[in-house]
Amino acid sequence: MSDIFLSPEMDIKPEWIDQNGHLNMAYYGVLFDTGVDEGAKSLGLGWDYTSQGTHTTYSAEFRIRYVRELHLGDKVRCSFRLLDVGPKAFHFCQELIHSEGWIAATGEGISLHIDQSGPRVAPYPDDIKARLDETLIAHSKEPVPEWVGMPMKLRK
Amino acid sequence: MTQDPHRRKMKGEVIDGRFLSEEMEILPEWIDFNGHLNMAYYGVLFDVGCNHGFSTLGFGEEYRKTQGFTTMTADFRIRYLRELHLGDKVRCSFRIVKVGSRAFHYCQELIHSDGWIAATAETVNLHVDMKARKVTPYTEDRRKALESMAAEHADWPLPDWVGLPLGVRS
Repeated sequence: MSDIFLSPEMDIKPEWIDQNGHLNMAYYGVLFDTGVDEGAKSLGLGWDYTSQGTHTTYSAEFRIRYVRELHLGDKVRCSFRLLDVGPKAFHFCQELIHSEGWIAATGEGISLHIDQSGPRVAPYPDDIKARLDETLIAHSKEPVPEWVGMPMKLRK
Repeated sequence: MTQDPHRRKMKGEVIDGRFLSEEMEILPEWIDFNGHLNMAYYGVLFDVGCNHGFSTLGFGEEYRKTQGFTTMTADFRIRYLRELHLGDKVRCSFRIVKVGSRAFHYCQELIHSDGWIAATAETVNLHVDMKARKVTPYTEDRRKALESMAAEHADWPLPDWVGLPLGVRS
């Protein structure tokens, strides 16, 4: 059994469908953001932590590779895998997985730990840093997807 | 019911070496528990904020209906630089990086009405046959439009963040 987190199933909303008759590119981002919740919770960075009002997480970068179209009625889950952990930030990747098993899109992001009194980037508390490090070791058993860290360019 | 921002037709104008969209607003439902614009909705602003670029290139609704071709995104990346809040107004720039036979690479900046950059984006966009749902070469006219705009944008400096890999800073 893989240690990689998997979100509950998510639906496509009718207002997210664009003039091409498919899920608009921007709303893949909404699915990736919603799909990160389970991972954040497991890492101790979920609502229980952020609702205390002292610390939270911000996104520094996010990248989506669109692999297949999604349509109204499709159901997807979202995976979450840690790639690297720093004192104040982590690098992660995600896959949007259709209920039939194929990958609709991949996501890659940098998440920052924020002291809300700034707001400014701040080190993780020891317990969360330990959990991030443990999770990174567990996730590192799986191969890193080949699309991680690739610069964006046109294919020849 | 909020008006669908994606249906908005926008004109662009060149100001100081940037091809800018009209001003866009932040919708209340885009604000998250951090009290700022949620990361996913920067994507909506970048998508709406490329309309002036795509319509100038001739990739609008008429092209879809008469030619049977459309455009789809293959790769999209946002760098978040500053928070945005309810009431903020932004314009979006559109600059071509490179044109291929069936795809082009462009970059954008979300510029706050006070002049600072809230986020940057870079995108690879594909030319697609709507029926076959397959990537297909540009028509002669669209290829010319892309190359002509690319030549115009080549006079402007290419942002140093284009083409960088993601990673945690040490």
